[in-house]
Amino acid sequence: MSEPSAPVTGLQRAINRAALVIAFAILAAIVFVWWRDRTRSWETPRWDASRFVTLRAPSSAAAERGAWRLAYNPDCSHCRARLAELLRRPRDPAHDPVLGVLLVDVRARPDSIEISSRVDGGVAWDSANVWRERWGHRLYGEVLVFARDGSLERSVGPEADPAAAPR
Amino acid sequence: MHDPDRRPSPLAAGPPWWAWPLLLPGPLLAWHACVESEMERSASALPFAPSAIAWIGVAGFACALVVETLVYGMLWAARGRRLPFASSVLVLLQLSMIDRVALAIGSHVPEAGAARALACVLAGSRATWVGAAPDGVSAALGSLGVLTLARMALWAWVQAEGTGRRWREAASMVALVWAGSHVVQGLVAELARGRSVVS
Repeated sequence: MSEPSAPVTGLQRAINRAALVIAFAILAAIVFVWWRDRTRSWETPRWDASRFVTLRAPSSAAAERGAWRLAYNPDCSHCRARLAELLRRPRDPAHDPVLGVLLVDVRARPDSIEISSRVDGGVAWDSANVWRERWGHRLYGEVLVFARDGSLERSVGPEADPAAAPR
Repeated sequence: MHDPDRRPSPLAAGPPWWAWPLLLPGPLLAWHACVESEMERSASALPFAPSAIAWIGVAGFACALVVETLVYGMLWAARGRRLPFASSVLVLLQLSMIDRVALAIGSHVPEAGAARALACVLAGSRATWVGAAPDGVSAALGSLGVLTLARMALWAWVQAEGTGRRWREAASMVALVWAGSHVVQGLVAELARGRSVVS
């Protein structure tokens, strides 16, 4: 244990200064990356099926209604729990939006899809990384609510209820 | 300014050997219970028992306390003073129980009423969140409440005692580091979510 009054040596002082310079450099780098991210122009999400690879076609009713698209990564346990939770909800198949899955951050085309057949909005693979690179979205488990014409009505967070009225 | 007439602080001599087994288990077990309950609540499938993984979380938390003490040690060294390391880490671990109380308040907040307002005053606005912080500003400042201010004040007192400097000087440093680190926390939260919304 060091005494508080023990002198700080020149070497220790130099190490401390170097560490502080590194810390400030990291801080400046974070601020710079944040600033670049915030000032970049992102696309407003719009559902255009031609931009994604369809792995499972949506039901015939999907074209008539809006859709909830779940940002889903197969390696994410929260995504699986979120999908199960969305499938458990009571839904009116005649009126409610269909539920679709958008596979995000998946490099290669999946060989098999372990997603419930009750997903009536189809399963699409974001092969071009549109969700992350063009739309700027990053939270797995979020639900994008698209209108029938493909325009985005709203985004719903991973913990929030997509059926709830928007605030 | 350093006051040469100040009595030497017991912090400077470091904790006696018997203090460690008395002071370590309580906070570590409290944080383990906190991490374990959080994992059981949020994770659907874990490769190991939550208890085992929670100990990894506790180890990470302990490392964070060590790093926090090292940062302050560096800052004081840059000002030509030494912060007693071992005793500071041990006291900081005890002070972390204030954070634990703030988290406990956050998990028992009613939907509305005066108790909810009181929880916000004590534990900050994060007491009322469901899940993650809704935005970067909240991520940065959501924990700011009376309990956080108390922890900062006590941590400043510990540093003032350990370095022989005035409390005001130590408190300025603690406030500056807290503000800087929480601004970074807010920026990182915004980077992590991008244009996704949290709630």
